[in-house]
Amino acid sequence: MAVKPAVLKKWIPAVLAPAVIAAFAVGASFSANAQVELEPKTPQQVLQMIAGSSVVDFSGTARATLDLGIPQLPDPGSSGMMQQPGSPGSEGDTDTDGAPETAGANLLGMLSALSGTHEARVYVDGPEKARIQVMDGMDEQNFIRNGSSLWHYDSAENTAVHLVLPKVPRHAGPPRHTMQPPTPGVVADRLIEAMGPNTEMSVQDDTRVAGRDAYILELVPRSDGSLIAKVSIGVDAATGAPLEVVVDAVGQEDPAIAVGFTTFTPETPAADLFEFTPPPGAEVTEHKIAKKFLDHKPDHGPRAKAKANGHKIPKPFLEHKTGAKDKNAKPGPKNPAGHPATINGTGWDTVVVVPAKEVPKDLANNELLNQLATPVEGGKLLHTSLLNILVTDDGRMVIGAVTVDRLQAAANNQ
Amino acid sequence: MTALPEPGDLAIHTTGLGKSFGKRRAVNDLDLAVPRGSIFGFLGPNGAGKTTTIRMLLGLATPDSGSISLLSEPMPAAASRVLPRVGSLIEGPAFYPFLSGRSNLIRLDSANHESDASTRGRRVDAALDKVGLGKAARLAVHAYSLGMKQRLGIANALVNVRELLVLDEPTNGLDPQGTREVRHLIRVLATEGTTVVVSSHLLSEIEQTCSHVAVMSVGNLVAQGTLEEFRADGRRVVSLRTPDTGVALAVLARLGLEARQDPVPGGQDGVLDAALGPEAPEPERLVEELVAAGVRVRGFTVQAASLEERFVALTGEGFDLVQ
Amino acid sequence: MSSSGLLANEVALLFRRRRTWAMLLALGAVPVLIAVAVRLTSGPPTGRGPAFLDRVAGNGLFVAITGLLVCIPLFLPLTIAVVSGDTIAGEAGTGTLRYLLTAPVSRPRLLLVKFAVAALFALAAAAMVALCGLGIGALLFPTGPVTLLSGTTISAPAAVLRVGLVALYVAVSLLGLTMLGLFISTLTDVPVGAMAATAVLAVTAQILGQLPQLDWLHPWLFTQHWLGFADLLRDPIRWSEFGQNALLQGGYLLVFGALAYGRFASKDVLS
Ligand SMILES: Nc1ncnc2c1ncn2[C@@H]1O[C@H](COP(=O)(O)OP(=O)(O)O)[C@@H](O)[C@H]1O
Ligand SMILES: [Mg+2]
Repeated sequence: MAVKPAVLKKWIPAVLAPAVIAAFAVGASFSANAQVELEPKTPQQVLQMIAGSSVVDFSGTARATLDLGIPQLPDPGSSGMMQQPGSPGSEGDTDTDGAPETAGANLLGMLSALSGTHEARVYVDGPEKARIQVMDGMDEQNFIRNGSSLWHYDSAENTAVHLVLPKVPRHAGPPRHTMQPPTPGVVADRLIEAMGPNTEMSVQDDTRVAGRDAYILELVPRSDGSLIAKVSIGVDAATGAPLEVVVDAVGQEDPAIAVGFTTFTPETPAADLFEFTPPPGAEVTEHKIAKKFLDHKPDHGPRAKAKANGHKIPKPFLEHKTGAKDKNAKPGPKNPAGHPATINGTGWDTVVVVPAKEVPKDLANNELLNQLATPVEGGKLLHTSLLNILVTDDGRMVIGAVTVDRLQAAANNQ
Repeated sequence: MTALPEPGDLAIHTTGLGKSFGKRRAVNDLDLAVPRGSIFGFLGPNGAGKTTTIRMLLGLATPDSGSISLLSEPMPAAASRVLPRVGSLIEGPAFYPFLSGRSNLIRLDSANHESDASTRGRRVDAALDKVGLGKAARLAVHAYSLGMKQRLGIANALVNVRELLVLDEPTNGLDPQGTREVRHLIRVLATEGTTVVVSSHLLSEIEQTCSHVAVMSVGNLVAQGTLEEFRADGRRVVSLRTPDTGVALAVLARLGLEARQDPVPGGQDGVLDAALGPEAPEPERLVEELVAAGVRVRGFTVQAASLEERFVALTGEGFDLVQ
Repeated sequence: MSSSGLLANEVALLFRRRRTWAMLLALGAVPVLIAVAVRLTSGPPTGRGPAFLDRVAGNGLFVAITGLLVCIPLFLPLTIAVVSGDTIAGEAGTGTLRYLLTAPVSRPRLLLVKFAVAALFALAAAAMVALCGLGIGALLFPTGPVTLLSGTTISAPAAVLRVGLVALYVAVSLLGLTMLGLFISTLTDVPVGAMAATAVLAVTAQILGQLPQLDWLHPWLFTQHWLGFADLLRDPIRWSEFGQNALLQGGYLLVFGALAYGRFASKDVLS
């Protein structure tokens, strides 16, 4: 039987409602990613904008997404509702200092834990005041710097760590040391440092980042062996502040790393945000940092501190990136004691070869590693979308953001 | 049947009303005309389509075809204007069992956007008194008997002054006393000017109260008109008592009547029944012919067909529902 | 005047039903059980448990938050499913729907009133958990200034306000499910069926939300922000989750409200 038009009419809202919502969703995403017309700029000029950016006071929400193409590992802390209140960090994290063992053995575990999306609120007031609130489900990690006072507060364990810097070094930039997640500015700085003639730079269509008009600076490695397809940096057109960094890996559709602000306000945050008094009942640990230590490696302190609390800081990953991309960078972070690691190649193609005796023993026999590694000619390969690690049969470790044959070639050259 | 009254005088007027459930045609091409002020008997065996028709009249179900005018307004378009003037009982009462009878009526009346909240309690109590539930008003409905629920359902239709009452099988489950009371109530309401439509599968209920009748069978309207017209339309039946049944049968057959011999226990006399068609000779001619043929006529009666027979003739016989 | 008459009557009816109170009391028992359990074990909690549980012994105000956290994945949705699944199907099941509609109340208005009552129940349910939590927490544990996730300490009255905000967040979170239940309720004359289907949907949506393969779907799940009220316990309060949640629930209200209207307005009432 035919349906009467009067009956059909009742369904009109049911058809319209999803249509209206779809239109809104499309409109919202369109205006969020809409192309905007900005005064054309060369890559040079955009870089200058970043360098000359005077934004030292701002607040915003940053989002970091990591997709390194490694399998999801069991992750004790991310299920939102149920948590282990007293969960210790992964084993090995109990070392008080960033010894290479810790870094190596848990590299995968940490990367896996970090994979996915993380959100943080960032408040910065000049070079000496900063607060980062990493929001993790029902918990929060707070990193507060106010002059020479550094606080870390972990809501999950209700613990606070206090560090007093002896004297604030002049050159200590904006929150370089509070790296979780790295602010867009920091990541951009490092990438730009690493750039040489081996990078093709261009300015892409202007768009909107964090609701602000932005230039997109695109860096493409001039290398056919690199795992990095391209790096895009979103630069605020109004202030020159880097708002977003996206690293695309070769052969992966989604970005391997996307760090960016979702909201950004270039205004001075409220002063009381940087005042921190540990809550009553919190377990407070006091640390003093030796002056020479700090001078030598300004970003070591907070890490050591965080490590002591069993946090998952993407330290090896970031350190590695610095090492791999900056040929001038000392291999120091990997080898604090100054043991020789050989560096082959330049720029994007940099390969680090760690001698067998420097490779932590537990790494070679690590169960997880053995499961995830695939046997290749000359050793075992651990593959992530941005980084290849080859553990050779003679025990050396070859690391690079390059294809496996480059690693093998570097290993054979020794 | 006579010509239909003017549409303006009709409380209910449907044209070509139809409704199917899947392949089953529940109501087919129904032209119903209920005059204002009438007590309208809506007859039909179970499954004839009475309730379905009433649901469409009250805007509960959408007709597949046809149009409805209720109190001279189109339905279901004017439902919110018309329905406050219509009281109804549809396929039995239905109430929240855990609420008292009174609370149930209050609840339904508060749903009526035209009813006056300030007089609600008084009106509900009056309606409960009318159906004899005054004493049980504050009893939870789950403690009501079937008949009490039925009365409560009728009371619900009476909470407001209505121009039209549509009562579907109102005496279901009532004791004879209750049935009589309901009939009385209907008559009283009608004298107050309310049009009352009473549907029933029981003829007896209708013939004692109604001024008008419509009969449905298997979804179709088979008869409609005043009760008088309905009665008059029936064929008369003659009944002859005689020992000479053989001769009598022959005589009647010659006169074009098909007679049937009823078995009479004990006596030697036989009884012959024959329906008088429109072309049949008058009864006095029949007696004349019978006597002339030497039949000893010991008894001769002429009866109008009972409504019961009318009903059965129109809707079919037996317990099998015609589908 | 009389338009609110039906609403008032329906609200009174909701709170007159024994079923409603049974559900509210069961919900209120959750924080009480939590508090008593923590009190009896008294030692610092070990092993797995809901977030915030470890803070209960230190500050009774956290009982309310923990209670809401425990109730939102299952207990609250179940009660919402019962109330919202019953809205139309329950009336159809008892047959009172035909008398309501011929009273008459227009179908859109009946839907609106039924939704309002169910939404009120959602608010009452969340408030019940919060209030019972606050009460038992104050009874069994010390109360006082509360430490927020960001490490900031606020006064007890300010903390009670935050608990109120969380309860409001939870109630808003349940609105989408409420409308979903109302829509399902228009599809059937069997209230238990509508209730079960609604409850199953609530659980299914949460399971889908756990599957990383479906992350494109996650932003559209009505359960997506159910646990997002932690943002109200930060300093400064982060409202974006509240806003997104409200927007999402509003979308569900719009879509399923329109579907419920389409279905109910064109439906033959044959019960
Ligand atoms: N909800 C329904 N679904 C399917 N068929 C129905 C429904 N209601 C009634 N019918 C069918 O419609 C016909 C008329 O039913 P109804 O109007 O209830 O008859 P009455 O009230 O005259 O006894 C019957 O054949 C019945 O089977
Ligand atoms: Mg019937």
